[in-house]
Amino acid sequence: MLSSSASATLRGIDGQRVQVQVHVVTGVLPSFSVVGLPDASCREARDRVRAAINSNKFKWPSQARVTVNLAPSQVRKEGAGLDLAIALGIIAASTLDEKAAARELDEGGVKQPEHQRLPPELLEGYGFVAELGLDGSLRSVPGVLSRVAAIDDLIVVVAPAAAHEASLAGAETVRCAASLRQVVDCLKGIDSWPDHPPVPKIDHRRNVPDLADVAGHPFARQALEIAAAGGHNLLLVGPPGAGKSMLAKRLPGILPDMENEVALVASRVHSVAGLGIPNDSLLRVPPFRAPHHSASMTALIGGGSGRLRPGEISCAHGGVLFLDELGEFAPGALDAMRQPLEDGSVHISRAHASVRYPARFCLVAAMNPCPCGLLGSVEPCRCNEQSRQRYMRRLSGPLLDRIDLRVHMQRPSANQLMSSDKGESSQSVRARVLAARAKAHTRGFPSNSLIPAGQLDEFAPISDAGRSMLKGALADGRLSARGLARVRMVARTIADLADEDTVSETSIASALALRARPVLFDSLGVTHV
Amino acid sequence: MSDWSANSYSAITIADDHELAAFIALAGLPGLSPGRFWSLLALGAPSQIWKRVAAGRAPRHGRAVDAARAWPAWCRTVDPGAELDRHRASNTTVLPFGHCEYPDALLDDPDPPPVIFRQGPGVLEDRVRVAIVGTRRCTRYGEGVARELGAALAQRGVDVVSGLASGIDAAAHAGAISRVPARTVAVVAGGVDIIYPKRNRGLYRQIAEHGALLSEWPLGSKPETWRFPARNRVVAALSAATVVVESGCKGGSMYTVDEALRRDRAVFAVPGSIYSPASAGTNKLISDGAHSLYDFDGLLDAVAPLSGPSVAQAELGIDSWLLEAVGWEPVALDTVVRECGRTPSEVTLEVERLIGVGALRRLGGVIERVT
Repeated sequence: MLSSSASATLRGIDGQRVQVQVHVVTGVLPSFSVVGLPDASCREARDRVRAAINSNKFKWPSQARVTVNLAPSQVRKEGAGLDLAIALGIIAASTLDEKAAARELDEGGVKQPEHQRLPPELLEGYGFVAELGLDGSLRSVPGVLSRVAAIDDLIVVVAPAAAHEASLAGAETVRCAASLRQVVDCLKGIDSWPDHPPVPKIDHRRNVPDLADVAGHPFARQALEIAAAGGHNLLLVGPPGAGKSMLAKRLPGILPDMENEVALVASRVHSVAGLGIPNDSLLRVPPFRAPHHSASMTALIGGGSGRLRPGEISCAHGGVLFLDELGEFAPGALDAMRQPLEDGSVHISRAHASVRYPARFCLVAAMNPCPCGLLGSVEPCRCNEQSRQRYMRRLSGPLLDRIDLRVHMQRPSANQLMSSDKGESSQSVRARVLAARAKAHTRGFPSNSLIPAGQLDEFAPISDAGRSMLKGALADGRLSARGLARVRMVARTIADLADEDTVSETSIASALALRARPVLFDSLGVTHV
Repeated sequence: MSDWSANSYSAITIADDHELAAFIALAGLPGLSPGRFWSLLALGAPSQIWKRVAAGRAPRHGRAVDAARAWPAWCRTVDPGAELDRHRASNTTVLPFGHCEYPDALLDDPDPPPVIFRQGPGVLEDRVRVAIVGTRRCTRYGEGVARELGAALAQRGVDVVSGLASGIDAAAHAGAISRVPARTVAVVAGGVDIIYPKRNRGLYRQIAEHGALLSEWPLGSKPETWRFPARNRVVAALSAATVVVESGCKGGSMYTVDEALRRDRAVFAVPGSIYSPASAGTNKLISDGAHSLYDFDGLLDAVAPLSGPSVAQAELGIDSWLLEAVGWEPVALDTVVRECGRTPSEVTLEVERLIGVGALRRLGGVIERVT
């Protein structure tokens, strides 16, 4: 006897429709096999499904060979999301039709009780995405958003906890049920589908800290605003306790909410990575990811030897990737970020699969200027040249080259710390950022950091005074030819924030100052980076 | 040491290219100290000495016996003619003692190098020279002083002499070469083609182009440990005064100081923190009676009282509310914004303008007046 039901698995951040076919033959040596490239967690479904079927008062077919085929068979199936479809398929395939039931009775067997029956045709038009507990309960799985999107023409049945995420994916109808038993009863019309659990309304920006808490640091605040408005990468250099992390954490608060398309992609990544998304909507507040510096290359970039997983750079898609103590990260892991920084996505290839994860994020890095942390501040640095050099060697020049804003922060003075003055609030800064981003949109780019160098003359004309200042910086070696285009992009953003059409000398000066090489390199006679 | 008003060495005459080739080859003998070279040269014409050395008939005495034992084998690997061609091809000038371009300052030295190999335009006899020396393991402070001192001396028309090592040496050369005309004299402990440390590649190239890159040894000689003290004696001998910027109580810089004192030249030491190991030697020198370099003017007045004045501020058009506000101490940009009541953008514009005209320097989040 045969049954067929629909479910979905993951390929990168996209869902892939899977047809679960179950074949049950009785009167042979009992066996249970799953074919069609299941991975380890998928093959474990056998044990979960058998337990769930038994504990929900269904009957495992006796003396039967059960074969489960997951089609298309060339796609690797991962995770436990197919459990429900497999269990229902087995129940349906072991349900005897009238002829078979009559034959069974003739041969002296017992009548199959009604509560163990599920006619296979009832599975048509449904898709099932849930993991089963041993007690038959339905559980949510990572990547519901993507999986459901792949079978959105069907009525999708998920666990209650995943009901809301599933309805965000745009499926026609989403049903949820607490247990395998309830699913079968609802399919048969004995029971009615329960309502979705209620979703509490929450303020998504509630947990984002406010810029008003940061007093002083006028230049660092300015740089943060520029980074938010133009999507430029930012390096904060300063001694321990200067407030680098504090400032970086406030960047999402001045970024605009993600637009639909970006929000959907970011939400899918978060769902696939198992990070979860807000209960009532797609991820709207730009994510803030701050991996510890012990993170491996795979953790940062994505991949993995068994199941492929998006890395931190993809989890930060649409938001901020904050790398504290930049110098402590493994150099290889940092270098691997160069290509995603250029392309806005990362392509990961393994022997068994290759996927593309989105990775357009704003990189914010923080580091000490030298081992003692005092280089570039008013107090003298206590390091010798060799230890400074060792420290500097950990940084990759090409990565640094992709960071357009470099700011030195000072430790705040006692007066500043004790004063009750508040800084400008995130809300009013965000208003300026939104206005500047709107200007970038009218040029046809989501942010100024994406303007091609060839179109700078058209989109970022410079005043005469600004032009001569750039010329001076190029002539005395403070600016490289490569840096010129980057400075012009940043200057465009600064001009947008100041509501200038032509980029003024002041904006050029600010962009130049932000591009100035970090003091670490300055002191060692390294040429411009 | 007695009073060395003159030495007893006479000019080395080289008859032709054949002799010159043999002379270069001899200079490259392994372990050949300047003193030993002088005693070899007393034996006759270079080509004859070369033959004797190659045949193992060179007189053996003193401490260099072991090295001399290896000479015949070494001679078989060297073709004097090819050595000469190599020096000519790389524009390396060979200056035997007494050559018309041999530095005057070394002619009546107690311990003159028998030969100088040179790249670059050379030592200008009409310019005052000052040595700036110090440790490789310098601090930021020492590096800053060396760089600024190098630049200030160059501005006054004084040539900076140093050893082109990392640390203080490199900073002093870099400071000097940053001014116009870009001149400085470097004495290295290997062949002038051996860049050591590798990081100084850029400086080697610039000095070979604009200044003088000197060595006592032919191309290809490795910077072996024993060559460094000899190199330091040439640094001291070439200079009217020696400035030690940072040094521990022991080390090459102290050797340079000894050589300078032996020649009765002025020694200046830059005072430093008593906690800093890099200043232990200089502080001790001051306590022992060296001139304390507590400001640049003292040194400049001592060695170059009549050299050109620095360009006046007004001529450069440096007139700014910012300069008046910052004073002469390094100050954080954040502080400037707070105290002047200007926006970050206004401050940045002024800072960039002043950096452009060279009146201000930025180090991370701190600015400092330069002139």
